[in-house]
Amino acid sequence: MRFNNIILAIVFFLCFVPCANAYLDPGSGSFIIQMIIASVAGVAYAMKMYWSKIKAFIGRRPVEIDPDQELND
Amino acid sequence: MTKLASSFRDPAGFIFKSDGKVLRQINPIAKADFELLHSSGLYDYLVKKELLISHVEVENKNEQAYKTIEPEYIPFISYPYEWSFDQLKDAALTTLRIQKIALKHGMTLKDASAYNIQFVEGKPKMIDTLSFSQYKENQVWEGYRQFCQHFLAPLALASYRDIRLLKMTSNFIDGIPLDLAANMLPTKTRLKLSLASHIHWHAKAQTKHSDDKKDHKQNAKLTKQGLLNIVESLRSSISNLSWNSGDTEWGDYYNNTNYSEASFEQKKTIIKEMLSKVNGQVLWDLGANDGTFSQLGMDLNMSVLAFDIDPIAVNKNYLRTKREGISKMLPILMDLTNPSAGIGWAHEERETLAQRANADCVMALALIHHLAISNNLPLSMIAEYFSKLGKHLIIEFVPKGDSKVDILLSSREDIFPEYHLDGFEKAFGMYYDVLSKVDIEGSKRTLYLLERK
Repeated sequence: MRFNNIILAIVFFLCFVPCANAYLDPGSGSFIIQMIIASVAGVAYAMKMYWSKIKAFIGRRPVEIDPDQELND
Repeated sequence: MTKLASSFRDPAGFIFKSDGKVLRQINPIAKADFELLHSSGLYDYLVKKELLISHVEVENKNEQAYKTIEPEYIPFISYPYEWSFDQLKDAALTTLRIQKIALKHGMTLKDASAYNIQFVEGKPKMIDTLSFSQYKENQVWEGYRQFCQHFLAPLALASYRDIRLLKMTSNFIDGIPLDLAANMLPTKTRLKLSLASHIHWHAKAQTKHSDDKKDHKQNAKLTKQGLLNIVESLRSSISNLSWNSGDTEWGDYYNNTNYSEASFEQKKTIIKEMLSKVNGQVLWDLGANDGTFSQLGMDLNMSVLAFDIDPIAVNKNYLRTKREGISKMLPILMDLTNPSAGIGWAHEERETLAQRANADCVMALALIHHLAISNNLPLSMIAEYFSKLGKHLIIEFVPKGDSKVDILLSSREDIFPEYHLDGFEKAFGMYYDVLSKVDIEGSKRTLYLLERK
């Protein structure tokens, strides 16, 4: 399936929630691409975190410290 | 009351000047968001972390307004096209960090303009208190496209193509169009997932769906984790962009001057004395290079704007201020032969350099020959423009016979019969009085302290 068809297929099954006080026109394309990237980036991020933990475990690189860690606690 | 021309886009409020103060009106439409900003703890957290300027509520003189606030005063507003690579990069990372924090407080950034970030005491901070709105479940990020245009596209172009492309942002007030960035970036960026998705796919999706009807648009939703994934992906993309192009003409300037060590030290002593006489608070160092002489102003507790035409020098200077925690100096990228113009609607949204002039003292060291000889500027025109920037001027006259001037003249005809000490004094005498004049020993150069007439 072509990339564009994948986009259309995803959009078809999704629904929208309007944003209060929005004044920018974010554009349809930007909305659609966000949904694609959210999924792709989620997988990529999970893999990256897993890999960085392995590297940290074998002592190759320290895990990055989140300056706003307190908000996660 | 004077409404600022830069503040018309967002109906939530606007900035205005009144009785010499810069104030922000908040309109009733933004009441709920403004209250949530405070009640959620987001405002306190961001101010504590030095990510957002603080404000105080003041008397509301307009009954149509919900509130009027007085934001923390920012002495000099700089623009993204005046920042070096790492300044824009830090502004981008700050925006993303703020968005992530906002989401954790149940809010979101409704825009992501680079103009919403200012360097305050050396650190990038959000200045638009009205950029925060309540996060609604499954909402996509309204500011996503703007972020890509204002930050990711210029940084990627600078990183993969040429650092001078950062200046393109002055031609595109809402950031670099993504289709243009996609066309200009090398093919290898299509193979990097982050740039492929945020720029190349994004640009294609914009083109393909540009004519979609609004109700078609309203079919998008995103979980909060999905939105956080996007923010993290952008953060990772920006963090991985770097710029390293080796040295430029100016990168190693102070190791290649024709000063002896003694002359260099004497020059510093003279300038320090002149700065003491000025007894001012704000110094504009034009042609500051790595900030060696700007430091003299900071030693006297002056706030310094360190201008330079060279992106390497400005970036080095910025990284040094960041590393050493220097809060009194702001490096600025500026070509004085073509200083920042007024841009945006009616040329008024973003001010010219001269409109933002707030210097007690302007310093132009080893600069005049570049303007007068390399750029053919008559000395009187240089004097006239400098006099608009500040009351005092410390200027170094570099005459013919100095090796640096001789280099400039070696490849061209000398069409500058007025370029000599008398010609200099005559031209600058039209706009300034001479307060002191000192020859630098061991060189042919002369330093002047001038006061605007």
